[in-house]
Amino acid sequence: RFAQFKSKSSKSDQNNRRRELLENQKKNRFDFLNHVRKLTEDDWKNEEEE
Amino acid sequence: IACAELPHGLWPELIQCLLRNVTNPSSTEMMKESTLEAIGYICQDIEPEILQPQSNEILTAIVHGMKKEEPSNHVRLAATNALLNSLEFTKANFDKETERHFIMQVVCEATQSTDTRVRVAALQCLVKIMSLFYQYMKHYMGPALFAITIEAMESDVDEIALQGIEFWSTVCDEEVDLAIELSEAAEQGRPPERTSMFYAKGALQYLVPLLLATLAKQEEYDDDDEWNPCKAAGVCLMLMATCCEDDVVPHVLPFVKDNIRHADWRYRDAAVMAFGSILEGPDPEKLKPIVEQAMPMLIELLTDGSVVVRDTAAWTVGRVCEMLPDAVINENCLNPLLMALIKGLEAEPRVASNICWAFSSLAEAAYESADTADETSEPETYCLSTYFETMVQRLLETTDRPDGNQHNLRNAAYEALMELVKNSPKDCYVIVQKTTVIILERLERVLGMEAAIQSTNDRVQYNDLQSLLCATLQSVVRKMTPDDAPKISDQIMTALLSMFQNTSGKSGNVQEDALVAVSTLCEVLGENFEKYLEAFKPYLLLGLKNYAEYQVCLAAVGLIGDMCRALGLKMLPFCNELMMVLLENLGNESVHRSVKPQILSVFGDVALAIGPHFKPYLEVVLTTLQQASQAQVDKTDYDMIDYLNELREGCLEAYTGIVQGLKGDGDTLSPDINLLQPHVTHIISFIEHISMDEDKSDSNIAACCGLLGDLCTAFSTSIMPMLEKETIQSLLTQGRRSKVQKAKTLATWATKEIRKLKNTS
Repeated sequence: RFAQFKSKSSKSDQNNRRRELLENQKKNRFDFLNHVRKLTEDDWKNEEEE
Repeated sequence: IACAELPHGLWPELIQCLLRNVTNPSSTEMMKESTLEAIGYICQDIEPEILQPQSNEILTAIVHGMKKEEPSNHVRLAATNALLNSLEFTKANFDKETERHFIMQVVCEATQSTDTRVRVAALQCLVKIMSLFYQYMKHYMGPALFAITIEAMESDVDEIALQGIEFWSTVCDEEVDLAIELSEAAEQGRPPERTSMFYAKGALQYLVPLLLATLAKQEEYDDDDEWNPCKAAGVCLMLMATCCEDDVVPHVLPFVKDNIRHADWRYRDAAVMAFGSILEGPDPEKLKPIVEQAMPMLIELLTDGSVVVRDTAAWTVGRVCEMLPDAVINENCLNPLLMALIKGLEAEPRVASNICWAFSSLAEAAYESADTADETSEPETYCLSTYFETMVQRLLETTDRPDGNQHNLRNAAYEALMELVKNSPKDCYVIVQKTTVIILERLERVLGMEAAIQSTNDRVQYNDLQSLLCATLQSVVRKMTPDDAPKISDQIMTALLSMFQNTSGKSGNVQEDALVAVSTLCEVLGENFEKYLEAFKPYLLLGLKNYAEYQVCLAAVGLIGDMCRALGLKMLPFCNELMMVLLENLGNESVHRSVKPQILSVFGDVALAIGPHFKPYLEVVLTTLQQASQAQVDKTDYDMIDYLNELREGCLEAYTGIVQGLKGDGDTLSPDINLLQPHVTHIISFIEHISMDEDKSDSNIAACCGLLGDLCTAFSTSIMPMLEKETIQSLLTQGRRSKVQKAKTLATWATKEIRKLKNTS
């Protein structure tokens, strides 16, 4: 309870920084793979049109 | 001794013996008290399931000592404390109505004792009973518990009032959980297992006035570490608002209006506290006009004569900025608010710390509400642009305050700075660049101070400061354009390298934040990072071998992935050494389990970066993946379910990287891909296994679909028979219907790839 008194959320504390870093790495990996798969947005649209 | 022996089935007669001690009419008061204390200690320290079979005997002894006929308060107190420790394994007794009635009667009677210690212990029992057996409280709430707890809240004795308030905070916690359970059940189209009785809502009109009155009973000199009814009432009111939502507002607002200008600071503070406490829970649309109306007053109170009021006002403004930013991001309010906040940074550390929090929330909200061409692009400008330079400058000054170590002020100021930088539009870029230079200068200056450190306390602060500077550096580097990054990267890397060399480089937090800063630099620099590889490698290896502080190890592993994406084939000269350490970590039991899925994913990154050169590692990595993909966990443990999903995702990402790496990026397939042929059956059955697991995550589905598509391109029609299975098809369907874009995209793509193969065959 003590921690709940006048508590402040934190967006940039070390825990959140860790979480954000991991998410960012996941996203980069995903983007990179989609690039390799030629699945980036423009390629995708071309396929739709085919 | 009991705690050592009972778990091994030894000393079977102990509990019987203790029971006799308590119930024997010829036992002395001292004997009964000591025995009950012993029971209490045993119950407190032992695993509940070990005592469960003897819960009847234990309860009989305890209840015997708690009864109102017991003449000794010492005995009653020892018994009540023992009950408190035994409640967790008495579910079977609470399940039986007669036994439940009896226990409840004894506890309720003990709350009426004239001895304060017995009353407090009995009230503590009620709090715990409420949280453990909410569903059984229906019969006792109206006739007994309501009156008992209200009376406790009104008590002049702090310990008693605290338990009365805690009872209702617990009711709110339970009912918030039940509301979540209800909405989850509704989403899945089933009835909930337990239902809320809405006790908090029903009691609002009686509770809120008491809580408000308690809010105004602040101590003259507020001690940060002391827990008192006033603070407890603040938390309870906040929980009431979360639990009862809109209903709480009419009970609180009149008090706020009547007291916010009260001559006595206690009432002004209580009014602001009450207002701040109800900002989360009620419908934001309903709160917005009320908050808009209140803002001028709140801004005024930031400079109130009482520091307690200033602090509460700053906290409330912080909450407004976090929960209802739309109420302040408008023409009327924004300018006066920012002026007041900037001034407020000069206030006492506790006040200024809240102001920093407000800046953090404002930055994020302003950035989100800015106009952008599309979702991913950075906005040209936003409502904070004209204030940006001043805010950054004042926050930098705040981080330098000599009293910055109080109330977490320095951290809060750096965090606000990071949020501002992260959420900055294009027209603030010049200021971000200037900030980069300032942060670098500070980092260099701080590194030069190493020798002057003497006390442990200095060391802690020094390390914290380095961590914060690294994290801030990371936030500015992430904003750098690809043209600008190489201009400053030598200076940044030099500073980071000397940080690793420093004594502070031995501190886990400093190491971690420095590694993360390197990650960001690598990401922004791309191939230009190559020139730092040789000099940086020793510190990367040190990080990988930091098992004790697994967050450091995790950051180092992730960094290898970033380096692979940035450098591609240029990673080759380092791969032997890095792969060896990664494989060793994977098999090492002292490496924290959360690092292992990341290592698997990074295998995929390495494979993708070096393509055919991954062959020397292929056999050992594939064997490892085969083992890891067969891992099983205790499915009753939610954490382990999450962990299994992470581990599987690591395997899937590794397989994906290997398939992509071996097949080559040319139009014709490299024959290397055939090396993977013997493993395809296992990979597909692994995907099927995940498909059938009802606990799989959306990103598992996405990764499975991606891998299926990759296998199609790599092995063409030869794998078709393996894909024409119900499990595979249902996985693809789930992916296409997923709410998660990633899963949707990859499932649709994989389905198309499969269809293409079908058409050719």
